[in-house]
Amino acid sequence: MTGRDVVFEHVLEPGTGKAVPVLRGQILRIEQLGDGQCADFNAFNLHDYKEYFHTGRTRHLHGLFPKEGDMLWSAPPRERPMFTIIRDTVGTNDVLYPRCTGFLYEYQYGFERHTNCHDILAESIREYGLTPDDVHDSFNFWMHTGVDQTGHPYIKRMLAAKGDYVELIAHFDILAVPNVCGADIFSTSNFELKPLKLQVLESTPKERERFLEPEERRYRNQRTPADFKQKEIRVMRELERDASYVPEWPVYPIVTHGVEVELADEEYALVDRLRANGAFGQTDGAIVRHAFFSWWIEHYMQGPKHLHAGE
Amino acid sequence: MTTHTVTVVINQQQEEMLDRLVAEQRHGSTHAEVIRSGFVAFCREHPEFLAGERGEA
Repeated sequence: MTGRDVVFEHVLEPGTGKAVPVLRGQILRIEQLGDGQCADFNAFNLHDYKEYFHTGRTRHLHGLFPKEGDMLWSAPPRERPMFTIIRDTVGTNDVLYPRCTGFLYEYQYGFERHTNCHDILAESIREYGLTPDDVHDSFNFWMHTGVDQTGHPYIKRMLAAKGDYVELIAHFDILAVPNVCGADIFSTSNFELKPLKLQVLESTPKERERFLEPEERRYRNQRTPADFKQKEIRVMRELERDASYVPEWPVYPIVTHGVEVELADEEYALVDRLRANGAFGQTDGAIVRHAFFSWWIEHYMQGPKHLHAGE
Repeated sequence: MTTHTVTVVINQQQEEMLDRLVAEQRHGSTHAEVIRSGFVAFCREHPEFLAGERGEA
């Protein structure tokens, strides 16, 4: 695509990663230089590293295999879109598997020393003063995975080929941290580690208009440290109880009461039919409540929908 | 025609949601009417569950 200035370019060699700032509106591009290499990925708010990428919220909103058009979200309680995937030439990504670690290779395979994504990410972010504890669960670009009928994940053969790429537009200033996944004994990268090309590009005005989300908070519950009762970051590793602590729960106590709902004969017959179904509860009140909330979710839920009726 | 009274237990947060629905003036003017309306609408929109198909839990 024309009209994009290259801000930064770097080749990620096998066994390495790179922490690189990607400012709001800029595009992170990762390209295959060989045939099929998984890139693990971490991301931090460049101005507040305690806001970082969250696989859980991303998985919740976009499923196990995010694709073009989906977003990478920051962790609760911030919960803002960090990036949108604006181009993905393959469409196999994973937010199910955690990053591989030195422990994993030693525990499961007997390697005392082995390339692993946690250590590569940790070494990459050390350039910005972050520690191995700041590495978080990764977004796994091009990792081709599935879930079997018993609920266990498994890794399929990598489908990406030379020249395939992903592009992500940043919604706020981010420290992006991709690395060449160190897994060479799985089909994650088809049993061979290969280099990746990393670029940061300026987006075009048209791309910014089409893809950029507002930087400011859109919901009160997308919180900032200003909302925290404890605003300071701990500097001591030892944990000690605050003797003056008195809990202030956001909503407490939870108080319940009954609403008397009048149903005509034919409406009450529906209660019995849902009871026979078995998935809506057994008591009249539980059945009506389940059906009512299912209706409400279907009609009022915002954002990507993944709930099924009657769930 | 007889009516049947079903007691639906809700908490204060669910009550707030019902307040919003009442304010819309589309589904009823009381919490009970809104719940009844939503319940009936769900059954109308999902006859598959009335026919005995098990919901996804």
